[in-house]
Parts: sequence; structure tokens; C-alpha cells
Amino acid sequence: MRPDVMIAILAMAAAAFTCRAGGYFLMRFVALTPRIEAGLRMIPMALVASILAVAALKGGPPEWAGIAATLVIMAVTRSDLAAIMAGIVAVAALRSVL
Amino acid sequence: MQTTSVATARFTAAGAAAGARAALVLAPTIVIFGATFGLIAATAGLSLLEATIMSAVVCAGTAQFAALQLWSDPVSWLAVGLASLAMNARYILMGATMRGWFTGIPAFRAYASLYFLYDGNWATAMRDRTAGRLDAAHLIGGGVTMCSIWTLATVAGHAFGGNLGDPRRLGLDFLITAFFASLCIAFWRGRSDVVPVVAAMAVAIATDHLVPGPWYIVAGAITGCVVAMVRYQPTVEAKAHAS
Repeated sequence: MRPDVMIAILAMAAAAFTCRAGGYFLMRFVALTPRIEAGLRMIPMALVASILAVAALKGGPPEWAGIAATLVIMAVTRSDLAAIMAGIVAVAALRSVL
Repeated sequence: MQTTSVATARFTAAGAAAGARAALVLAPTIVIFGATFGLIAATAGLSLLEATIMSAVVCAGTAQFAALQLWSDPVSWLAVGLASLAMNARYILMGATMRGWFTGIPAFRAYASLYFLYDGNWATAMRDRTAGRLDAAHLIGGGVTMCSIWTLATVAGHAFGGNLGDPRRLGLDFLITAFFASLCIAFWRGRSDVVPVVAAMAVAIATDHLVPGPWYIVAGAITGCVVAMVRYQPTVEAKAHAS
């Protein structure tokens, strides 16, 4: 157990609990305005899109095909497992060919 | 027994058991993602003990996968902490909806329950409440069950991970990216998302060029949040209700 890893895990846990308990706690004092709610709702999507944008930029044709396959299968089937499998298969297949 | 007027919520072992049973429906999905996390954590250089403790203590799938994406040696607690904050921001909203649940229940029980607030048990608790079953222990019963399954699956995935050979050849290093791509579709809510998302991606790419390390993720998430707040317009119906 490395100390830097332990501290990182505690930081993650503290952040997670702040979110899980924070909304409940704040409701004692204020109502979440629709504007703040709209901002909070956007955060997960923006974070995921940011990771994808940079991953796509750093990747090559196998990664692009993998991302495209995952997006399409997810949009069609709505099954995250099927989509992820499709993406991995696409990446592995193209890497073995290229 | 039929009671229609419940002044304070109940918090019973039977309620916790109902929550645990409801969570079992989600077990197969949790096992697959937990094992996947363990596997990727092994290839990212986390020991079995470290991965297990992370799953047991943090117990947040998206935040843990994001942390692996940002992993380095030594790891930046600030970077993974901020990623956890951003990934779990949705729980601020879900937690806020729990305010009415714990009326008359000691604060310790309420906050202990909220420690185990996940998407799955929040949804089953909401469903139960809509059906008129008002036992507040549902949340913690489901949450502890889900966290236990997630942690055991992490152990299994990590133990198995060392025997797979080169993860790149199998495309397994792509697993996290694929996971985030699938979330991208799951989170998508419509055309109003376009501008905040494009802004977030642009800022993320620019930040990645300018600042080394994982800060582009935080910059993108904040950008999306701010743009969505600036662009927020009350709907006509909401205005009509307000006036």
C-alpha cells in the first residue's frame, strides 16, 4: 500500500461523499435553482466528451473505428456491454490488420 | 396493515432487506463492470490491495475508471479527487431528492445511508416510494449490497488480470475509452447538449496542448457546466407555473 495511492483513494472517497451528502445537506438551506441544476446535469456528459475528444485526437484509425463502433452500437442497442464489446473487437481487429 | 398517514419515515431491517433484494437484479451488471475495473486496475499498476480498498471505500464506477485514465506514479490526489468530484456531481441532485425521506430519522442514519447512494439503489428506492412503501432503510440495504458485489468483483478481476498477456493486442487498453463512449450516448439528452459539449471538447483539446497531465478533463467538465448554466432558459411551461 503506497502512501500516495492511499491519499488519492481518500481524496476520491471524500469527493464522492461530498457529492452524495452535499445535495441532501444543502436542501436544508436553499433550493437548487433550475439554472444550477442545468449546470450540474451537464458535468458528467462534458467530462466524458472531453476524455473522448482527446483520446480520439491521440489515437489512430483503430481507435477511431473503435469509438465509432461503440457509439453506433450503444445508440442502436442501448446496451453498454454490447457497445463496449463491439468497440474492443473493432480495435483489436484493426490493430491485427494494420 | 394499511396506514395512510406516515408522519415520520420508518427505518427497519425489513426495509433494508427489501433494498438488498431489489439490488440483486443489478448484480450481473455490477459483477461485469467490477471485474473489468479490477482487470484494468491491474494493468494500470494498482496492487490487489489498493484496487480492493478503492472499490470498497470509493465505490463509484465512473469515478474509478476516470481515475485509472489519469493514473501515474506517483498519482496526483488532486487530479483523481477532482475527477471523482466531477463524476459524482450528479449525486448532488439525487441526494437533494432524498430530503423528504429521512424526516424524523437521526442524522447519523441519513448520512450513513447517503454514503451508499448509487444510481441503482436510488432508482429502486424511488420506485418503492412511488409504490407507497416508505421504509428509508431501503437505500442503505441496497447500497451495502451493491458495494459488496462491486468490491468482490474487483478482487476477481484483478486476480484474473495478470494472466491475460498483452492487453494491447486484445484491445483491452481501449476498454476505458469504449466505456466513456457508451456513457456519452447514455448521458445524451438532446440538441441542447450540443453547444456545451462542443465547447467542453474544444477547451479539453486546447488544455491538453497547453498543460501536461489530466487537467484537460477538469477544464472540459467545468466548461460544459458553465456553458450550460449561461445558456439555461426557463421553458414556457416553467414560466407559466412560476407566474
